[in-house]
Amino acid sequence: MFGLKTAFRYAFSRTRGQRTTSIMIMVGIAVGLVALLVISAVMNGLQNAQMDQLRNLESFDLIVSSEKLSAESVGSIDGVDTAFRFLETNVLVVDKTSETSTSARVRAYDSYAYQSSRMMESLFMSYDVPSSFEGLLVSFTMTRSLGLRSGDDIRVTFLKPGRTATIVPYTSEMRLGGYFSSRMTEFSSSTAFMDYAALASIIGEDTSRIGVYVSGNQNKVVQSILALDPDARVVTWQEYNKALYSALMLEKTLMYVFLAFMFLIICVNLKNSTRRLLSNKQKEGAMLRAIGCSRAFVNSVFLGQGIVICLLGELIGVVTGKIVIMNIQNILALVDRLVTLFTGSSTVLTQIPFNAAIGNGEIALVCLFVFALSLLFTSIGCRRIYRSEIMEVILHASY
Amino acid sequence: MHPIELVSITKRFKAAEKGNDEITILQDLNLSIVQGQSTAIIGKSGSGKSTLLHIAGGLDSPTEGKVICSGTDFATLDDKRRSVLRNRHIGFIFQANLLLEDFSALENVMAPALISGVKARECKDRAVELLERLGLADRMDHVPGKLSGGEKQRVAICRALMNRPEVILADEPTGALDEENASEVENLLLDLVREEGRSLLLVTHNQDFAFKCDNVYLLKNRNLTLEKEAT
Repeated sequence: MFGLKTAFRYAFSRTRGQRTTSIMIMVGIAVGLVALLVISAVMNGLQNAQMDQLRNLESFDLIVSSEKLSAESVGSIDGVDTAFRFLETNVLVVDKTSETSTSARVRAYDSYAYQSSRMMESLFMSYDVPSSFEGLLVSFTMTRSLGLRSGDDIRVTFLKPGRTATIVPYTSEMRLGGYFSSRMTEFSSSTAFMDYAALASIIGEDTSRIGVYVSGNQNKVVQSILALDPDARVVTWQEYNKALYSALMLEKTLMYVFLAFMFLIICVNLKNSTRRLLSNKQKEGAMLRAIGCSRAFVNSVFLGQGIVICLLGELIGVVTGKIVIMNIQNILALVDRLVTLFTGSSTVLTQIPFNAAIGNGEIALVCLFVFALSLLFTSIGCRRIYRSEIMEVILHASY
Repeated sequence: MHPIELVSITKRFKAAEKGNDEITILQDLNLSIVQGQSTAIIGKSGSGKSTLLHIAGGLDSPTEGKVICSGTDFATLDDKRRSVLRNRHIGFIFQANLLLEDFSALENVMAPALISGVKARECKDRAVELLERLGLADRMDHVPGKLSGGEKQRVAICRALMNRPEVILADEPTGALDEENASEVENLLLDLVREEGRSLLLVTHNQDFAFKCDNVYLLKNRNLTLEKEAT
């Protein structure tokens, strides 16, 4: 109890500017922690947004290829949110008026897909969802590149299975049925939609697969599908987007390494500040030993002083970090306004919709890491004090 | 049993960080502190008085010889046990005002008892009594920064007596005080030690102060010569 009290008093001692040094160390830890938490949250938000788009649009949670299973049977599995058949093929889209062309991927979902709010919200950002559409539904980006308007005549060339050849080209005259706009630019610029029955009549239904949105445990759902049809091929969204997923994970790891290095710089300052704090109290350390404190006890007092400062710094850091994360959009908007004011151009971050997110587990991990580093560098800062001999310090203090 | 007994103490220091040259400060020195008596050691500056006192209190180790405190050889104890022995059997008073700067006078006096594990409410009465006896009743809540040199040294005396140690080791306790304050502190210290029945080992180059003690030794040529002996 006496040790803890002494550690507290030393941490906020008013002598020789000790309190100011302690506050500076606390602020250093808090700022470092805020930076770690906010950058982690923003990166998480951006990556989550990217991954959500991938799962909602590009690959769903699971893609099942099976001759036996129907969308209904997969949809009835426990943990499945929605399951629907879809067709996919590559086409060449030509504007009949200007003869401008572009290649695209045409997808067609059966009616179950349009019951999924996850997909609909991702696919149609600001446009009403057509209950049914004739012709081709293309993205806003694609209409701009082809100079098309809704109702314009277009020519679409499909590759369909032939009677003698494996695939043969098949050209169909159709109208531009409407527009869609998703949050995933890469998806929007390369994808068009058609009515399921219409596309099935051209390329056949043999190539159809089942897209699955999972609400429960993904691994359990995969096992249930394979239990129903052992020959089924189930591709998870991580496998489907393996390259991008790995890149995102690598990016996250590198970000942590970079931030750890950044915090190391703060820790070097922490070590020097701690050394200064302890040098001020070296005489008292010697005196404590003279009146009966063991070397270990005095060490624990000085280490306790470091722990008190570090924990308070972390507390301030976590609270401030949380507040910043909660208001990140407003802060970015303010930064954006300032940047625009001086440079005339807007920052990219404000144009990408994302929700900064950091879990309590991640906060705890970051805090633990910061605490361990702070403690390590405080100990390094204390080292010289640990080694000092009481007699020398007392004699020095007397002269 | 002597509260502190120094047996054949030799202390050598390295002359420089590098090299093997050594300086002998104390040579085959013997000293026994008698229970209830005050002993002063006088000598020139640099003669090794403070080193001898620190060795006697277990703050420093002799190169040869042994220090026996209340029947226990310091050399046989690890740091923790040595600290406990120091806490319970020895009270220190230093020339420099070595007080805890962030604690009040009362808390400073209570510190040795708190370190030995006594609860604050149990040792407060004793600390208050000591401070009152030394005329610091109205200074109890003051931090050392708000006390005069004489008052600080009186707080240090109270702290040294707090755990009722067998022996008080005082290193130039009045060295930093003016004549008036020094005389007051000298008398207070000697009176209190006598009243409490403690032993005192005093190191000073103030001959007047030294000769107020029961025994006086002169530290010269690395050894002690008896100058005055208790009758």
